[in-house]
Amino acid sequence: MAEKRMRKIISALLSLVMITGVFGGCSASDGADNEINIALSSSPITVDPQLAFDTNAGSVISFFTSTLYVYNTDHELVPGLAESCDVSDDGLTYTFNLKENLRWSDGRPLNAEDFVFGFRRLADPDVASNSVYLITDSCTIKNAIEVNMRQKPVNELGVSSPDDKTFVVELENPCPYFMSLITMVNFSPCNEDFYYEVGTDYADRAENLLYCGPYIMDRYEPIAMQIHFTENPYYYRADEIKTHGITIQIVQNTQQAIMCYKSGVVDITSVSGEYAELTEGDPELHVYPQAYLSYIDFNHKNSAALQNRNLRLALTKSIDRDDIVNNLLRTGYSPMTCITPPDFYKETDGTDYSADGSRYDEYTRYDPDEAGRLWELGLSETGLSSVKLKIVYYSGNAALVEALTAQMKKALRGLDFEFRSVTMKERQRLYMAGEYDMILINWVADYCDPTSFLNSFFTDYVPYGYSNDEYDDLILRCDSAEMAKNADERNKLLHKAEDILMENAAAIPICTMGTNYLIHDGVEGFCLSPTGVNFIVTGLSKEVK
Amino acid sequence: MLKYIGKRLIISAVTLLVILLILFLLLQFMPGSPFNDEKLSPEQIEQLRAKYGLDQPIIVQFFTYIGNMFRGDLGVSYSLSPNTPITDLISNRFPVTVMIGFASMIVGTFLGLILGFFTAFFKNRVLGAIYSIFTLLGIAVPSYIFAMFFSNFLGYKANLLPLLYDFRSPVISSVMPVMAMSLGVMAVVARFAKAEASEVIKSDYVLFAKCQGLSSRTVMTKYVLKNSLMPVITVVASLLVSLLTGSLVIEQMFSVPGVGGLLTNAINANDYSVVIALSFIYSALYIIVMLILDILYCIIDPRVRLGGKN
Repeated sequence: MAEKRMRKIISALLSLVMITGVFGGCSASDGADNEINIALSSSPITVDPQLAFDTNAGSVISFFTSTLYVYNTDHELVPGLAESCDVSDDGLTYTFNLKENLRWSDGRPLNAEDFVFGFRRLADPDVASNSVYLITDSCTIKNAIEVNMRQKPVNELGVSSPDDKTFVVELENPCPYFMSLITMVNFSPCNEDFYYEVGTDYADRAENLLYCGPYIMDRYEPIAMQIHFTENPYYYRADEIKTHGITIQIVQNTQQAIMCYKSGVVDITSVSGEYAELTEGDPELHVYPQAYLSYIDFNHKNSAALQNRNLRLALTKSIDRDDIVNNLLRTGYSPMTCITPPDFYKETDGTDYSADGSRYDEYTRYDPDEAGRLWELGLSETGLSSVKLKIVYYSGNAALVEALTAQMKKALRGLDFEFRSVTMKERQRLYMAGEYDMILINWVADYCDPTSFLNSFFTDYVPYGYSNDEYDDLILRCDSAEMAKNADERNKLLHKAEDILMENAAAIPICTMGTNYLIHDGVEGFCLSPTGVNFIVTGLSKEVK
Repeated sequence: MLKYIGKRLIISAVTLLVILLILFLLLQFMPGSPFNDEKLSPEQIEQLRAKYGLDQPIIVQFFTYIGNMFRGDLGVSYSLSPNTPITDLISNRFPVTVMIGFASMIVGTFLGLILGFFTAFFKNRVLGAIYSIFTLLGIAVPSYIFAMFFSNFLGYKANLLPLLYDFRSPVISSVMPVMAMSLGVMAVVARFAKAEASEVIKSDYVLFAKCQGLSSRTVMTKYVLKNSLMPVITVVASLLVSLLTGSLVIEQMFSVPGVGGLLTNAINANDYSVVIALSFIYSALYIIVMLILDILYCIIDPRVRLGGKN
């Protein structure tokens, strides 16, 4: 009997040892070297560089890809995979000379043909990239529109490789910000042979991609929760890589992300929303400026009241942006009283294009009395006694819209709102269909040029949007070959165009937003591109304690 | 019995087809489209619609979908993870959700049965108090509150368990999600087990068994336990379906790569194909579990006659 009991005890003990063995084996997997763990709030929708569309994809892909030109940590545009670039006098032809001995992560040579194929994929209607607008709209590459509309074959796209080291891009119109645009991951090279070897599985697993950036992705699956990178020995600046491995951990719950950060599970975490204030004043909190503008656009065509400039100005001046930023939006946000946000575009003398935040105070500064006066004036001009406006917004912005409309209603007599809180996609549909009087738009620039924001107010850019011939003329002149060579003059035109928007209260700028990151002491070299979309990661390092 | 199962299977198949058709029709009324993005022109959106066959009449789409489904092709994702086959998306994530769901069910049911039966057998005040506290908390407090509590105390402050799910150590990193999800199951099971066992203990056949001089252990295991299991099985089965579909909040909190968050994300992104595939799988799962349940009834309790006639 005693023996039987003893046997039972021993077997129970053995099982316990086995279980602890399983657990112990798991916890041992945490690397003790200088690997960096980064928490991001959502996973990228794709890691195919040509298909990348959202900010998360841009951030993740920037770990493993590189482009012809890149931004350095001082936000200067410098050669990347290209050695140099020659631009023709008419501003239409860009000839890139590639660096010597470029290689893909499997050792095969990377040459100009890979850029031709990469650019063609972006235009290819069968690939159907959401980012095709970059080459059909932002800067139009020759034949890109026809290729995308299947009116011409893909090989007629205006890109070519006269030899292995030379890549040529032809544009339809001059595009002064083309060099900034091609720093986006969508303009990465793509190896045609590899692409067809992998077939339809391209970019759906780590092994189904070739890499030309500082890191190689060695663990990835669609909508992954964990992505892992190791250094790429074939990267042209491989000697500058200081961290051998990086893990991206998707942590959707910000509170959890902060706990992970504080307990040392992650070294860098993005902090968003209401949780940002939990970290306010923390010396490890870094706010990176982002080319972001939150603004209210008007329906300039259908709404009788909003055709009146005084009523629009009154709405603009009835908003206390400081109050909203300090008490509602908090960390990372700054009030905006113009269209172009600061910290992303520089004048030729190196000063910030949008440094003077007060330059449009006359039209946008909070002044409820003046707003009330303009409102009454507007009402008498239009013969209206009260105004009801339908405001459309993404449901995630409900608190902001409530605060804004409360301020407007307080300052302006006889104003009322009809609220329409919708999903992002539905908001976009309503925007295009003109089913709104006012609509809250959050816009992130793709490239470092004020036109990234100003183009939205070009006639017919939005079907029911702003329209002004003088403004259109200025914007068109900014994109001319002549202006491409004269940045000073061009900047003046850009300022003049923005003046028109503000004088006429074409839209109500509300705020800009930086991205907040908590970064442990000892982690150096973490940087975001000037638009705030891509990470600059080559110099990322971590001091091992 | 076989005839009954056959009949049920046919009804299930028809039900699933009807569900699929309703899903297709409902999605037509969903606001927005997978491709309404700020920077796309109407022509480009049209291109994308054509690429995925969304420009076809709905009835054509429906039959194409069914045809593909029989070949095991659930289509590709439109906007959540463009061009990724949905079978890939789901097959990677389903095992994780199923593992955590099953573990929560087993742990919750086991603890619930113990708590419920013991409280019914030994009418002890301390046990009664423990029972009341646990069942009240388990039913009234949502699982994510437990999850937050465990994260804070066991994960962050005590540093005993990992705060995030890690594929390299699935067992230990599932502990907190399982704990958070099983408390609710435990409470429900304990209540049913206690109520049912208390009824059975009072019944005549238990009294008879006792009078026959059977030991109280035999009475409990052979008579009470077996006869009070039936309602518990019913409730556990219906809980199982909700556990297998994954908990959105728990998965988000612990970064579990499961299917829980997939459906919500797909709805937000207007990713029709993912919404349809997941809803279809959930419906199928529910129907299958209910079928198995009916058969189990028959095995456990011979008084239940399938088909109703005999």
